[in-house]
Amino acid sequence: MNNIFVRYSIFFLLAILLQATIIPYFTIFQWKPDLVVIVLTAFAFRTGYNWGTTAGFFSGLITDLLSAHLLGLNALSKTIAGYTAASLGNLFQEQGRFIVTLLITSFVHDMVYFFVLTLGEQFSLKLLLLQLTIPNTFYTVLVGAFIYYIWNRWFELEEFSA
Amino acid sequence: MRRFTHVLFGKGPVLLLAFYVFLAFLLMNFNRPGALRGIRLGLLAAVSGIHSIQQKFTYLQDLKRENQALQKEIFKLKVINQQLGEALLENIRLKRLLGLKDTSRYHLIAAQVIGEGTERGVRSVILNAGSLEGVRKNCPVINADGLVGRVLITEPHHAIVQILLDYNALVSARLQHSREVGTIAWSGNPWLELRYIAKNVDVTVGEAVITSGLSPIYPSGIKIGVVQSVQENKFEFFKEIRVRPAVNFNALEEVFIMCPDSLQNGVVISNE
Repeated sequence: MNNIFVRYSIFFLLAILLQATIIPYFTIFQWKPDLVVIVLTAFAFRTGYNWGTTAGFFSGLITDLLSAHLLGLNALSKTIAGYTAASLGNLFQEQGRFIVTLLITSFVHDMVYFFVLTLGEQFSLKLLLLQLTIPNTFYTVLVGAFIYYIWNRWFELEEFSA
Repeated sequence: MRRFTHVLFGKGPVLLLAFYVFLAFLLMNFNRPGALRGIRLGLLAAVSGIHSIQQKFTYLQDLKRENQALQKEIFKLKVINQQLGEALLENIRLKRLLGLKDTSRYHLIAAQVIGEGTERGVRSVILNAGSLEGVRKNCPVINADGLVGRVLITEPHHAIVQILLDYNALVSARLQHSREVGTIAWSGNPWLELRYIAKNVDVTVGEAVITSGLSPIYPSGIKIGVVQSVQENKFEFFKEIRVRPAVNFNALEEVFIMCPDSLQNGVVISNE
């Protein structure tokens, strides 16, 4: 169990650093994948509610430190994302439907994030969905699916095995 | 403490979720990193390290230096060019005030973009210059093409900059020819919006939009972009003006931080 925590702590840290350094090169318009959500989903999928929610809060908090926006915004959205991934993990773990879990988790995360971010702005729900949430969610899922494929193909570790 | 964590972890996940959500709202309310600044410094150092590794792989040092020197030169010339154009218009309009001199001076601190903020949908950039180099909060950030944004967070050797492509970034702007003042905002599109320009004002496509100087943050005359299209909606009081940003935010590499009160390490640009 401890091994998992050490391994995932490194993954979380790597994801946050890559988010600030490498991911900008993959930005399409203003859309970019969220590596932290991918790692968080994998972690919560495996460990359940308590650790998933806790990891969501702390990974979000650290992500916030490299952001110009409100401290706590990522903490909030990733806490809810961790909880969502854990709930879906309970539902889907036996079937190994990681991608479905990632899709729903990422959607919930982006909805919460962009809703709070654009609060008070002239922004309709339709725009919020079409312009921000859905493209970002699909981009994250695409990258998540690629990592999932690589992971299964070359490392064949137990985490995502179907 | 043990009892507290036992209650949180033991009484069901919903209570834990509620606790963290409450904590997140508390953080948003205060918005101060406090003790977490140490972690931020560590992260910024790591980002800096990754950036320097990237640099080693992508640039040859000599070419880089030469490029930087040339960029600085181009930048200075462009700034002078912009200022001359602006001064010409100003002189025509304000002949009576010709005796007055504009003595505002800015110290330009050169910085490199070493990373991006971790926000989604919007972008901020991380620079490799900070408070020890003279960077202060709210200093405007520009590049050779125009206004980039402003400094929001400073650390000893790094700064995080809010760029114009941010829902919360508002800049008081002026149309260069009509001199009408509006507000530049962004709502998630590839273009910026110039808001609050009345319908009776003549606005032409291609007209430059510059900072108005009415805000205490941005000095006047910095190019923001050019008018891309003008539309009128009969149900709205104001024109809908799209502005194409002067800066290519996808290719930000080197920028300059304008610090009026900084006295060190800067290139002095004077309007005199």
